[in-house]
Amino acid sequence: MDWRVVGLTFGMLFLAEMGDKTQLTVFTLAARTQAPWSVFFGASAALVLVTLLGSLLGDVITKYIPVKYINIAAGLLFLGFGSVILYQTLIG
Amino acid sequence: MLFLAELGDKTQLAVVTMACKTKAPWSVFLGGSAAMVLVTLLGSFVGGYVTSYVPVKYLSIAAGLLFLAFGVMILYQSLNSTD
Repeated sequence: MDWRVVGLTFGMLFLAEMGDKTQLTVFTLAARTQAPWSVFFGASAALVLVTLLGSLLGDVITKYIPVKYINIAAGLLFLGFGSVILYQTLIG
Repeated sequence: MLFLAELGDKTQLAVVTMACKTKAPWSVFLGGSAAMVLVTLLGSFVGGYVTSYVPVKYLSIAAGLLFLAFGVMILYQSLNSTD
């Protein structure tokens, strides 16, 4: 287990998801149903599954596409995400 | 509901790219899942308080800058590598 990768992924996703539409949905569901534990378990299961699929997909992709191209695409993708998040926060 | 909302979302794309880049899918899965579960926990129980006490705007700015920095770093490394 690469703990640096664990920490990095945790930090990025935590910051990206705080206050995001997903968390707001969870908050709304918890408030509306008055069953926070049920909402927590259902939502956590969904998000963990989505994360699992993403991790495995990434693993498969590296077997077919050269790392250099993946890195360039990843770099551009992160630049895009960062720009969108900042734009939405500061202007949108 | 959340499963469908998150499939193909920016967060999942970030997970895919992290797993590609680091070649440590289980580490990415563990870190990513822990973050999602914590965010969900906060959303289920203290959603209202979080948004009123923690400045979400600053969190978002931090996230945006982190993604930008990461993008620059990855591009710099991949364009300077010889392979």
